[in-house]
Amino acid sequence: MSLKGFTLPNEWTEFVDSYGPLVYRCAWRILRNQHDSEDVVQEVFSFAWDSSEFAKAHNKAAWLRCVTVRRALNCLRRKKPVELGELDVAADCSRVSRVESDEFQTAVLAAISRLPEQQRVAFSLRYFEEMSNAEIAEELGITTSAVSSALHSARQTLARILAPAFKED
Amino acid sequence: MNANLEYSEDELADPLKSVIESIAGNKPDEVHMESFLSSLKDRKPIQSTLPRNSKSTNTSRSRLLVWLMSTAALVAILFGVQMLPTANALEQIARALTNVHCIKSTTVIGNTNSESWLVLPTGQTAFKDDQRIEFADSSAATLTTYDLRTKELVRSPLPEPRNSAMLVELVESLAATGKGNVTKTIRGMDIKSIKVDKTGAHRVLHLDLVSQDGAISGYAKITLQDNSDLPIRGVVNFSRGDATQQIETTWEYPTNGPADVFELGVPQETALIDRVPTPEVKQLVADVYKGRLSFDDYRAVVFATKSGTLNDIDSLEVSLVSKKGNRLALLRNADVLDEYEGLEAADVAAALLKNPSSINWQPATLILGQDMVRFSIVVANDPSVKGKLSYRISRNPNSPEYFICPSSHRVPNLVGRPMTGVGSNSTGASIVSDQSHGPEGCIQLRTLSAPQRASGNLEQEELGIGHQKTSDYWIDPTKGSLVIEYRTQMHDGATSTFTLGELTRSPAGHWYPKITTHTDSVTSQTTIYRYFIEFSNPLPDIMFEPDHYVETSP
Repeated sequence: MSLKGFTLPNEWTEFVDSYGPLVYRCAWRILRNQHDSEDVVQEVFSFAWDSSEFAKAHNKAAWLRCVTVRRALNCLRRKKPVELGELDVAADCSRVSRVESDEFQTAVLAAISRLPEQQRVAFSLRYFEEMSNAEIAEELGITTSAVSSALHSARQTLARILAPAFKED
Repeated sequence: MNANLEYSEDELADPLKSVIESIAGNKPDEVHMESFLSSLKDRKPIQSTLPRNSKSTNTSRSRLLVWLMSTAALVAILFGVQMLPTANALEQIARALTNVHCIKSTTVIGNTNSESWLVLPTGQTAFKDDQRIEFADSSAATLTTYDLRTKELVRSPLPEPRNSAMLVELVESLAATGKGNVTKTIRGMDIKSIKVDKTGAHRVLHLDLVSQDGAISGYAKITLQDNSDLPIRGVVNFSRGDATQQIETTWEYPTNGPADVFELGVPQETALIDRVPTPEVKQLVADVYKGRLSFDDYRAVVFATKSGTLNDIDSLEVSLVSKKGNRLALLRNADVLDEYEGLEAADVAAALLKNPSSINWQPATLILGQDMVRFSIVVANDPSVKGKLSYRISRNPNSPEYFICPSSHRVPNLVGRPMTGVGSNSTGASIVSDQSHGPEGCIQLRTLSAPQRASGNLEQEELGIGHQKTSDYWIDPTKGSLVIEYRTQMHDGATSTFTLGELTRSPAGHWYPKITTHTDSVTSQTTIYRYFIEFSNPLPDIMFEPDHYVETSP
């Protein structure tokens, strides 16, 4: 005998259905490998499943993007630091192919991951997830002007760090 | 000359802009992603019984609250009776329940109505709301679901855990009540207080409920039928933080319940899609799964590379894996030691197997019986050496049970024994009798996974939903039912193929891979995995200890 009316619905499946691809793609953009992305996706779902913050979040997708980006960047930070000088090996390639190359992406992502937390998260949400400053402000619990300031600082720092790598031949 | 890296407002300047756009355009292998998310769905929480908090799945939330309401009602029946003025109130209610043939519950949450039936003599149940109609036949162990949006009628195996736990708890609670030893907790909700009073012509139960983590509180008011002590209507209010939810339920006790889905409004001409696996398919899949956690103890070094050669140490991802009884350790390392450069992969593996402590492994996952431990690694500047980074490994708290089966091509006892989805209500399976290709001597199992549909309001493209996939598994009955090859094909023709090459056999006679190859048609990328396994020689116990890894490493 079973009690159909008195059972726990299968929310987990619908939760994964609803947000799995979004979270997975978000992690992949930064990590670009299956193993790390899957780890981050599992961590994010684990965290969100019982999180009261997620319950309160007005924009669930934005909240998940924020958490995923934060964790993916943390995952990236534990990787071996990329020496920008190593990029010289690509000097004989055209600039277009260089900037699209895996090495360049790795170097830029490594540089982003080394930014202060608020800057790196805001930068990633703005330029990888294409969230507005207002959305970022809401998720990070700061003002939009603070977001603008963080983005400005991030751009300046990245410009300084990456200048040698972007040196034109 | 340096490129111009000055920025205006939010605009990025080239060349950084080009790189950022390139990164933003990175897309995962869809087949891989679908496969992983599908496996993630199969690893849902086992113990968590509290309502999740997402408002994106209104139906689920509603049904969960229906359950909570029903629980409250049952609890009210079970516990409230102790405080009823008549000494034999429990006997009266038990007798009344015994005489009931069918319970029909109608629940209203906001603008949503749902109805459920329970036919007590047969255990058959039914459910109907604005999205689906379901009929569960417990004697045949099948669940028939009609999706009101797609008009699909599907019969699938009855998911036993969904329906049995509450019954078990109910029976146990009745028994405990009979002994005067009443448990005050059911499914994560504690009964904080019970009060009975009489309002007008009816007796009314008042219940205060709170979840064990204190996050959810509830108050229920249930009116009992005077002559039978059965509930006839109730209102319950739940709150979690600032969010509140009210649910109203009424109960009726009709003479008969529905006999099938058609009596609940499903058009008679609707074709039935049968996803109940045949006994042959069930046995085949059971044989495949058998080796996942029950075979040999071992330690293994696993190399993965996309470069096409397994001798280029720089291109390898190295994992150390060990199984010991019901424990499994999966460790990873980003950097192979310099002294291994120039050596053959087999020599590196032999050195690592001989002295696994020669490398500072980063723990990925530990499975310790029913527990799973995962780790966080935080990188920080090393204060002792300028410009040097250090990392700190810490244990993730509250590792949930649904990660108990890591989906990894790196774990030898899981490779060749993939989760097929057979038995779920979204996957149909059959044995292909007329094989046109595939490894010789193998049994070909084909599964067809139905499109997944989400109930959120996100863009379809972003969700990647509505996709159907076909998977073929070639199972070798002479190699311990190892899946020698499995291929998944998406709706758009994209394929992902995993092939076991050379095999090895443990002294106990079980088969394991030595080399596997994964190819993906979208990325045109091939990953080769090579496994070096030492049987009956698992890692030392200390390497299964979570605290062993929680430390600051250079």
